Amino acid sequence: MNLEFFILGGYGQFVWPAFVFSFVSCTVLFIKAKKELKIQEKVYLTEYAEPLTIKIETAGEKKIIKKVLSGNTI
Amino acid sequence: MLKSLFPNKILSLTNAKINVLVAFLIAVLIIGLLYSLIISPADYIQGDSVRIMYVHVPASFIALVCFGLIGVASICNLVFKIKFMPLLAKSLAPIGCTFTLISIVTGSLWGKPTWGTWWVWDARLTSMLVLLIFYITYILTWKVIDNFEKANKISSIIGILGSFNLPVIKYSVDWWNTLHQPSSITLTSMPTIHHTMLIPLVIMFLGMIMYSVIIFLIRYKTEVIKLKINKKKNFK
Repeated sequence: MNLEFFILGGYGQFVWPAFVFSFVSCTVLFIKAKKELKIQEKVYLTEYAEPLTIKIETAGEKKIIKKVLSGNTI
Repeated sequence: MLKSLFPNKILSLTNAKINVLVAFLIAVLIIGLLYSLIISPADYIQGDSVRIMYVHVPASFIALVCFGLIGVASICNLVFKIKFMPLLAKSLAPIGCTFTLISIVTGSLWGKPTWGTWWVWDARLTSMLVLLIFYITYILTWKVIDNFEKANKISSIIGILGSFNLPVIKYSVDWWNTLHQPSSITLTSMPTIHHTMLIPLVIMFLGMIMYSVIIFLIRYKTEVIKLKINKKKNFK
């Protein structure tokens, strides 16, 4: 691999840490945010489970009912 | 657009949707990094150290915009009592804080080869440090104070007070003699940067804005769920 890509005309020691620091900071924030969302979703669903899941289930049930009805008419 | 930020709407944001956004973000960032580190040329004076600009400038911009939005949300919260505004502001704070830190660190790394020093107490650098302190204070207020109403009021005041620092940061290079150069990109005039450097800068801008939007959506959904849990706890 071309060594000049890493050395960057002698400025590699400044450029790479800048990019790496930015990447690491953003990744840490992303992981922390995702982790916290997962925890809160889990708490909500285990202790007060109701909204989203039930809505999806009822929508699914309606679809099934429709299918059955159309099958009967044929 | 504001309607899509209503707490109940944000709950329909599924992990699949977030993953699609992340896939787009990765594609934009790969293109941006290819341009910033390989395709774009070195500066005729600063050499390759100019590549730090591709992370430093977007990070600084997002840091300012985030606190601007926190300021607006704080005013809306205190004056108009819009209930989801504190949640918006609270979700924006870690994003802005991270980008302020990135801006200061990358600025310092850029300053050493350009100015010959890591840090000087000039107006732009000091005002950015003040912004970081405001961000940390804002975040700590929510962490330390348990009472929602009390934390909401104090953090809103911090949000409004911190907003006064934003014009100082923006115009510090014009008002005082600083080591920091004046803005090369403004909203009112054509950019003075050559297009070979402007393209990677715009792509990195887009990438970082997309990243901020994703984190904001994740954090906002988390805050809404937290609020719902607290309400149910109190109801019990």
